Amino acid sequence: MGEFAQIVINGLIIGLSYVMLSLGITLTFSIRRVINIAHADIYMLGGFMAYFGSQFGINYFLVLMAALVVLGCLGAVLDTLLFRRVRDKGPAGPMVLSLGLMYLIEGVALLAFGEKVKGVPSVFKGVIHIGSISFGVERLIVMGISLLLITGLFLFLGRVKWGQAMRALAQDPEAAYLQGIDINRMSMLCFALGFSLAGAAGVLLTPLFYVGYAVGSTLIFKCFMVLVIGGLGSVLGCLVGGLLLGLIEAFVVAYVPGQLAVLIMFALILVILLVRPQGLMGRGELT
Amino acid sequence: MLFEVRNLRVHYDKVAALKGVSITIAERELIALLGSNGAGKTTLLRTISGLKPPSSGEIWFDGRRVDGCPPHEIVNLGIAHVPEGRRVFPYMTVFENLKMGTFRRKDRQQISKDYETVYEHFPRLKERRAQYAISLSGGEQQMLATARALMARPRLLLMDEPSLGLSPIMCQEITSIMTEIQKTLGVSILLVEQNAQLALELCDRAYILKTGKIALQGRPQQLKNNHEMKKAYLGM
Amino acid sequence: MTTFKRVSVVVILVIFLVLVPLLFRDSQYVLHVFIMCSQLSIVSLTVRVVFTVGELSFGQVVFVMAGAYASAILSTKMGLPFWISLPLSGLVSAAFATLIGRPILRLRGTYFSILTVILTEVARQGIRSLKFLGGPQGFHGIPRPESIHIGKFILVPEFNTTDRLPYYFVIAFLLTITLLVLWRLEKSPTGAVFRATRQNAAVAESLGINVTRYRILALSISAFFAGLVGSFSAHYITIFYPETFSLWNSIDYVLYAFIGGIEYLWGPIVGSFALTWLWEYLGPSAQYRMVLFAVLVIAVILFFPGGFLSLVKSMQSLRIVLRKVLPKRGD
Repeated sequence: MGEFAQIVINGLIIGLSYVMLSLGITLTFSIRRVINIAHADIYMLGGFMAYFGSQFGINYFLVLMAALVVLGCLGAVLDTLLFRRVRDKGPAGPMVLSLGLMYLIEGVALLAFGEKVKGVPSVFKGVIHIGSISFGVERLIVMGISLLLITGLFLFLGRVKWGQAMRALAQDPEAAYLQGIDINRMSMLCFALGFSLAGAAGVLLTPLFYVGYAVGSTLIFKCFMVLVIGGLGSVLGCLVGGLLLGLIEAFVVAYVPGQLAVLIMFALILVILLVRPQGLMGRGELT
Repeated sequence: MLFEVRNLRVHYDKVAALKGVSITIAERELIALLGSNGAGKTTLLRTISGLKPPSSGEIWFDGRRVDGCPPHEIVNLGIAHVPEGRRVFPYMTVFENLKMGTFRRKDRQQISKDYETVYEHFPRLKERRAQYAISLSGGEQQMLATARALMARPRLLLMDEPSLGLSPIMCQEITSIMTEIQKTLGVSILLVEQNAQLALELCDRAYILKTGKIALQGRPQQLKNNHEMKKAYLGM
Repeated sequence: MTTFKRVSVVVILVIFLVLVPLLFRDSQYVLHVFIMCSQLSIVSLTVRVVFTVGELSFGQVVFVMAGAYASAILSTKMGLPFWISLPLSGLVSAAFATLIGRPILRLRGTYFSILTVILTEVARQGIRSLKFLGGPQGFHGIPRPESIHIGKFILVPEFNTTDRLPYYFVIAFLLTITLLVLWRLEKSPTGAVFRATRQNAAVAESLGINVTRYRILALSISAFFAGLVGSFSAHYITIFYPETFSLWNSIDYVLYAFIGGIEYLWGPIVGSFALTWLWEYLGPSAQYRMVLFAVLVIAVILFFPGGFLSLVKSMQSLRIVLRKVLPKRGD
């Protein structure tokens, strides 16, 4: 029983981080119709911020705030300087741009941080016992903060005018323009939010795992899987897809030996793609 | 003069969609824009609301030059556009749709009052205010799109083929709503319509657009009596 | 074709088939880079083929892999000579594409592209777990191409471990064939249908064109040539394992095609050669390489979204304009 709960928690934590990452991609896709391949590298940047934070003994929450703000600004800047320019230029301009961006960020990371993977020591030590189950405090905190951030975003999209405007923009861009919604501002906001979340995920999860310059490349693939499962334009799909993927991964890895595990995962993805290609909730708009 | 277009030219790539169009709209006037498909009616509306920049010519609103302004600024200045095909936000509720209309407004108190006003004039929308817009009927969506535009408190309302695909009863409703908007709310309307009969009943003046140019203009009575016009443009 | 085009094509052919071998026959390194460029060019060209019907395939590496494995099996387990397993591998790859084409092409646009990304990993992991296909160890000891001789007259010389020149000619030849075939394809009615389905699939359908069938055809054609590259690669490097065919390679094919100019037939070739050489040239500053490379890619996509060849085109147009504007000599 304890083991089961352990696996569930692990699955949820990983799942929530997948959600945080994929939300950013979903947002930017809905507004700018671009799959930002460089997105997962923002996670990596957040992770390195956590690393440096721990090296210099900076308060954990301060680092988290910094990541949210700094990386958010980075998102807005990159959108204004780069993604806005390639908007009308050909079908895959944005795609190639994001590829170039990925190489750029990873290249800079390689220069700055070297090839080796780095670990960050846990900030919160301790274990909580509930009955026969024990949970690491750190993991619980990570889960809590993740949930907070994700809920925040959902509330923003659902209740706040600007968030609703984002949804409107995703559902019918021209009609949105006619209500006075400015796509450039919205897009900046979108990128800022997406990058913030990705960076936060990096700060939160790196102490539990590790960070390296190439971490983004591995993660982006997981994001794609989330998008496939959940549906491309749907934030709810992101949530469901990410959690599902995290949980499935946790269970499969725990109970099924190596190779088979991976195969099962992929078989699942393929089935979903072929049976319901738009994902569980996908409708092509931000819903 | 509230609104004026002077010698507007609009091109799609090399093709000219509008070849020097001039119209005027006064306060509280309902102006009809008629013509067959492809004449350029929708293009004119889209250029006015900023979705398409003009190649040359001027657009004046309330003493300011507005051609070339981006759509969000045009809304700010007081022109709202109800586009062809309704274009409501499908996966947002009726209320959320209306809220989007108020996007650029900052006067919270007045906005709350305006919701009430809109619900009074469009009771069916009030009923369905928590429903997703996609679940509304064509006529209801048209009302929603119109109400949404009204929530922006425009002084000029652009309406693109509101009667399209609507049953005769719904057409009646839309017509009476337009009259209300004009007379009670004091909003000028530029109405693009295929249904010439309908438009001529409503309007103060009309322009007939043919392949990008104004072919005829005048009061409905004049136009109705014009035989050439009846045959060629109105199919009467 | 204009005279300019004819002349330039001939010039290029001469350079690659005559000058390069002459000048660099002793530089194994240069020959190797050219061989890599040519391989990349062919696969990037296949990306373009799929793009002609309006889809962006990030999964071409799967077809390369299919060709490599097919060729490896045909030569090691069935003892077929390279010259036979080469075309056969292409066909195997094409057949594979036809098989998976129908289900995967039900998706369009971005969904299709994402699917191709996932497909590369699925294929790789799938092959990894199949023992009879070599498993994680892949294949090694794949025989080199055999020499062909009629009596004492040598048609094709020995391929050995030290000299890359024969390989160079083979791949140059393959590239030329690919170009020729694709060029003819574009001029053909089929090519026109491809372009029509890209422009507006709905309209094409209404004209009675079976859009899906043509897309599958495009995919199969692309798979054939990718398979050829796979086969060649297998016999060139003589070892491979599942990781050789990575997703990032596949993404690179698309990158090269776009940077060179996907709308042009020569675009992918220009892109592949330019970027590969750039990467090699930046080799010494290995650390900065990635950053510089990335900056270039971003610069190109921002300022010349049509790729390098679009720059050439606009220079051509400039020339035409200048000719009209400037006074002629002798006036």
